[in-house]
Amino acid sequence: MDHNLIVCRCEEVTLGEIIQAVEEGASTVSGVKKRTRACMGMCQGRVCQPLIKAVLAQKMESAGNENEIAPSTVRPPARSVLLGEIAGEN
Amino acid sequence: MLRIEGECGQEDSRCREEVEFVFDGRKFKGLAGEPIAAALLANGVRTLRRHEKSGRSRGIYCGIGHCYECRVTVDGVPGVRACITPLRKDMVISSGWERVAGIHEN
Amino acid sequence: MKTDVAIVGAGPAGLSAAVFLAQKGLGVTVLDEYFIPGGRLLGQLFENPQKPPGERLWIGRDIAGKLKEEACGSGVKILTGTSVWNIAPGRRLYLSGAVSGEMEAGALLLATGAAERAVPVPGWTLPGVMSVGAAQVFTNLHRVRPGKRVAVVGIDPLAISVAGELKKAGVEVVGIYLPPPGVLTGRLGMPPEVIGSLSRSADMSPGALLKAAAGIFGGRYRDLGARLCGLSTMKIWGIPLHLRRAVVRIEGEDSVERIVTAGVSHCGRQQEECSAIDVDAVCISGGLYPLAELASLAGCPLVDVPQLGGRVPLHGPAMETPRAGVFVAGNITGIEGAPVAMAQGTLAGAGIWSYLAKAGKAGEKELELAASRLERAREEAPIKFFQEAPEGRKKISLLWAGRKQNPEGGVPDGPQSYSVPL
Repeated sequence: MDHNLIVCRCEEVTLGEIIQAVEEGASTVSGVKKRTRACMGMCQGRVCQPLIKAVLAQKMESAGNENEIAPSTVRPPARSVLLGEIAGEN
Repeated sequence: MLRIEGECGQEDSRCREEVEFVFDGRKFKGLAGEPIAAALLANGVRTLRRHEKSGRSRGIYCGIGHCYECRVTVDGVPGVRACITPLRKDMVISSGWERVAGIHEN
Repeated sequence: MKTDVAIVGAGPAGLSAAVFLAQKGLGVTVLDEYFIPGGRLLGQLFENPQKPPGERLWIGRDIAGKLKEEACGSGVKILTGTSVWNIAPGRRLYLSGAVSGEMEAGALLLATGAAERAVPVPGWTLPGVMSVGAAQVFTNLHRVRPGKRVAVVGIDPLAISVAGELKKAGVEVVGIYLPPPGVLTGRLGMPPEVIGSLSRSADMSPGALLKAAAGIFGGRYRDLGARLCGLSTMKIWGIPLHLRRAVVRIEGEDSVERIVTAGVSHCGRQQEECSAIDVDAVCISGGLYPLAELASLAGCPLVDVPQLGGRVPLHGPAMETPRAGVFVAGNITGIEGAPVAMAQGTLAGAGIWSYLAKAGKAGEKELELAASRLERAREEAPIKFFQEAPEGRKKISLLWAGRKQNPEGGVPDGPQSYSVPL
């Protein structure tokens, strides 16, 4: 598969960058996220997280490890919010 | 022409009222109450914004508010999802790219 | 703001629960970030040939409209255009959009549905490339075509159904193709796997596929899988369905202009490329997965159940989660069709009513009735998204039972964001 393929649309992180992060030792979605910024954009990983898991799963499988891949931690805000809304200005 | 004629999609009784709006300085016509993204698509406009870093064009992707790819600035409010925001008369919509480009120039 | 029951998601599950609860006299507020209630019902338009004539057409938009009317007529408050961006202990919801601020709820139902699984294809960020769900909503609900000449990527019942809907709407559909084979597409890019799952679901009938198969094979579609194996292309409503050809690239300057396809071997290896095909839009289908991020924020433990489509909140027989007063229903608990989601919504409604009103015996009766209706809805489901779903649900109920016997063990770790019990 093309390593220049964009996997995380928000942050334009490529498949090559994600594979590199995994080769450098990332074994969780959070690990990939912290190394590449994938999942850190406006969509919060709703689009690319399952794809990152697929890359991780392949590596785990070839290493004989079939444990569940830890997803990235969900943190608020789950949707974009204006600072004024947080401050209670309507 | 991408609009399917003859039948009103939504139940909303206002859905066939034609209104004017502005996108990136150009005047368009759309149907009040349809999503901004649908109004622009019906006008043949597919690029809704550009990626903040690469400048590559982006448009509708998920269509239901999950991906934020279609976000635009509406009447001065940034980050509005064009796919889930109904069109109103005289809305001033921009892709927000000029603003980002301006920052890059400075 | 305060409400007896807050329901996140105005889809089939959320609205059905709302109707039930309002009719029991509770104050119900439904929140949804879309501007029309109905959720995924809104784009649905298909035929179920197993039903008697006259009942075959499923027009999701009309069903959503009826549910909404029933809800509003029963006193339900529906806040559209309103997103929930956080949930804090004590069932405190943080809202933004048309209504912003905080909302405290006596009970909370998370009916946030599903998100589409992305299938990346080189060039997929170009405007004109959209998910098959987006194509469905724009075509069937808003009545704007995604393009004049469209390619569909991904071979599954939904993709085939949408291809047919596009054609009916006057779009020239150049073909339905496999996604490019590789680590990101996995099984979705392997011809034998795709053919296998297609023939299993054809047995249960997504109208289009069943009819097409019947047309081609003279009414015998039972051995569809075996028959498809020998084929590389078949036609459904005149649309070429390419079982051994993938879209490997989408090209264009500022938006979609053409696709490049390539042959795919039996074992999923990409073969020689073909000349480009001009299109102005591409619709990609990769299936759905439960969208459980708000459950995670609410402190509900999630369990990975591939048989249900992904990570789902652990829940009991009344759709309750281990968090007091937090319930779940619909596709957040696993990918199933709208009639099942509606039945789940009613069941969750019964659960919430029992919880809030301490309804005792009467509550148990309602729960029993709703559970049997849910079972029937599952039996009658025209499309089974995951064949092994019953196994997945069994896993959930075992984990739930284990949790009750041993509160310290047997439950997978919840999200770490909250350790404070509600």
